[in-house]
Amino acid sequence: MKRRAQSASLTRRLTPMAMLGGRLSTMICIALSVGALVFSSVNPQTAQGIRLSVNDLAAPLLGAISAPIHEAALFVRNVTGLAELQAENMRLTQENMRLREWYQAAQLYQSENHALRDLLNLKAEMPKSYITARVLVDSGNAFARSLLVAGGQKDGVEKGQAVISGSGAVGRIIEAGDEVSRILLLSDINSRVPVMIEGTGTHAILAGQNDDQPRLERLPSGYKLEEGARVMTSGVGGLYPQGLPVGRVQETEQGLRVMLYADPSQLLYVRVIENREDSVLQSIDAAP
Amino acid sequence: MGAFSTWAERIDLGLRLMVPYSLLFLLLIFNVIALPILPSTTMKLPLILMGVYYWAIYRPTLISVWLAFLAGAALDFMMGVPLGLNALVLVVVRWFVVDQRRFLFAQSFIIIWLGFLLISLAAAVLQWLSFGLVNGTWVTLDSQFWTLLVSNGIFPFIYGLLHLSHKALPFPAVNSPYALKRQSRYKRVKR
Repeated sequence: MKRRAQSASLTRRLTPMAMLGGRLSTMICIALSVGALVFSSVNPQTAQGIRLSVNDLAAPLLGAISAPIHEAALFVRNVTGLAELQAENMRLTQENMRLREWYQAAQLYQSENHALRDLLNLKAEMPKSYITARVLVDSGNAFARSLLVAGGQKDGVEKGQAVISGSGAVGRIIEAGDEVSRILLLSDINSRVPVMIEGTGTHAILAGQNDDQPRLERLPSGYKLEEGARVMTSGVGGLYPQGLPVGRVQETEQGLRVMLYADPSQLLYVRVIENREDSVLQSIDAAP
Repeated sequence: MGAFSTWAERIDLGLRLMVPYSLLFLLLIFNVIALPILPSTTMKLPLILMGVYYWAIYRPTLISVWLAFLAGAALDFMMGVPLGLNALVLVVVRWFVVDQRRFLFAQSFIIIWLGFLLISLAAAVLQWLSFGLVNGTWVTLDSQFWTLLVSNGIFPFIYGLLHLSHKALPFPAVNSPYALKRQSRYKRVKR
């Protein structure tokens, strides 16, 4: 009886202490979170370094878990695609006929182009090589649009390299660790890409808005943007090679926006363009 | 060691504890991993928030505030969002739900579901506010609306999984629906 009374008394004394300890821990965690938020905003480079180290550590685990999911996604796509195969086949046959005519024309233009380049003694562009990387993680929220891919400095991926998919430009590498790299998508609010409107040669800046439809900024005053116009990278600044397909201008509730060709949510693999002109990035990196 | 004196009992306890923690870990991974079936770059379901919400109601000792903080920090690292953004949300959600658990504890599933709707809404607003205040950019919350809708749609399924993992635990929390059910079953058997 006496023992039970002692135990009850101890519990009465310990409960407020435990509650106080719990509240103190909560306050410390909130303070740490707010501190980290401010720190990553004030000193993003250091925050990036820490993030890369953590991601490099987590990469094998993420890769192991995402591999079967990717296989399952591929299987689902293949199975659901069977029903559409006949229609797809007919469409491709017709497209193939059209493309044969284009192929003849393209060969003619290519030989003419080579002859003209030789005539002008034009410096030939370096052939591009690619690094294929599997998508591990996507941020996918209103605050950041990025992808983490299984390919890092060990594979030749470097900060600033442009990333493409089969459909068009995806973004650029903003963090390159040993094992993994992070791609800043074209739709991210921090993404600014020099582009031009096909056919007109008008230059503009593609500005991400953290939604699926980036905006075109810095268009020449008085320029009338038309719906359906194709947008491609202009190559200005050297970060993105010239002529990467980006998207198509489309009328939305927010006005004319660019509907991107590459849908990052459906990407399993991306291609990192290895050879690029480093002029801009090297000058940024070299800056104190 | 009291109730767990033998090695076999200790191993049994360890294995049982692994079930909910493994599920939480899986929720964390599925929270960040690229799922090419969903439009995941616009819609990222807050699966780990569901786990924190559930355990904060039924077994707060299982998910300590530090664990919630670490889970949030892991999300921040992997998702590429400003560090502390998810950690802050998970810690605050855990704090609030533990504070309100006396009320939530005895409620029906519908009220728990409604509670999650409010919590996920508050979490989205808190994230938006803290991101805006720190970065000075106020992003639109259109995509968050659909995320909220879908995540509340799948909440019953995740709740079911968490409830199953709860059953693996040796000590049901006092007065939890599961404990009450188990007690009544025990009494019936005894009679």
